[in-house]
Amino acid sequence: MTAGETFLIVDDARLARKMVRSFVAKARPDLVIFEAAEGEEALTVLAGLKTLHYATIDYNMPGMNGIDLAALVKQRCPDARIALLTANVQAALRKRAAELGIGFIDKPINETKIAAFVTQAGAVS
Amino acid sequence: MISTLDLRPEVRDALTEIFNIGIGHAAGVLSELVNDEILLTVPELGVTPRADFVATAGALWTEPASIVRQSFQGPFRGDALLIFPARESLELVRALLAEPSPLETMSELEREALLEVGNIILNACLSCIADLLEQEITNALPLYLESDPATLVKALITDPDWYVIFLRIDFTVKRQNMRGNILFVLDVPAVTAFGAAVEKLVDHFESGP
Repeated sequence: MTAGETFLIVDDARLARKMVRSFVAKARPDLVIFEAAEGEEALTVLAGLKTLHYATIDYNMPGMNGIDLAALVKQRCPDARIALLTANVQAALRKRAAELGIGFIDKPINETKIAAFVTQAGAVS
Repeated sequence: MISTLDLRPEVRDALTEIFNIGIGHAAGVLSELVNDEILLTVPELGVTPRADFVATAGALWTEPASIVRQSFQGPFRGDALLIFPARESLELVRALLAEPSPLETMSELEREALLEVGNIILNACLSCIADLLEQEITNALPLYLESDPATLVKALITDPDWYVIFLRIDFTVKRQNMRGNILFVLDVPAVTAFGAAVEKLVDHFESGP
């Protein structure tokens, strides 16, 4: 766990961003957290980062959806650990996330889910 | 346009997120039922005092609708209503049942299917509210009604102090776009408890790191 690792939260709901931020800060106080409310903003944030280590991305957002954004983030930061964080718990969406090689975390979010995402080694499930 | 309470942007955001989570879970269950992906979103939400809602409700629905009504009890009581324009509800159940029917009116089987859809969607939203409040809400059996929604809402909300949480939902089933409404008619203790819980949630995370 290197100091200065980065975590990007992408969600159009302010509450969801604040909740994720709070749980990440508790589980991994060393992480530097960035937020974006939609895809284009996330890409702008990403452009200003040297590298990205973690990202949670909502699915239903204005503009680009979470899967399309995750594909772009993964292209730019192939080593980043990314999870789709959504209340849309349909099998079709889980499958798309798996095909893209990213994790899937269902809302509502809690401390345990985020702690597992930022502390466990290996593939995200 | 229905006038709504002047909620803090953070509270409006939180309310929309809570209902989006409920609707998202409902979409998951429905998608298993139809074995296809369902897109469901909550693009509009408002909280309106009874008098304001009743005064403008007539303009909201200009045609008969299919309504699923679910009364609930617990730390507070109220009614949850799912309202689809009659034509769209026919398209919805026929998409769900995958059995085209030439009839202009709903068969018994189609009514039952719509009742089940209403049950799933309303329960998912009520469960989210119950979990947020850390309380148990018990539901009565859902009822299916074909009625003028404005008249029904007026008849339901007799107490002038009650509130209406009004949601517009847009969804796509098997590539067909549809639109409906969800209403939660809440008594004063309910609105107070729900509002306080949302405020607490927002304040907790707003004051966080």
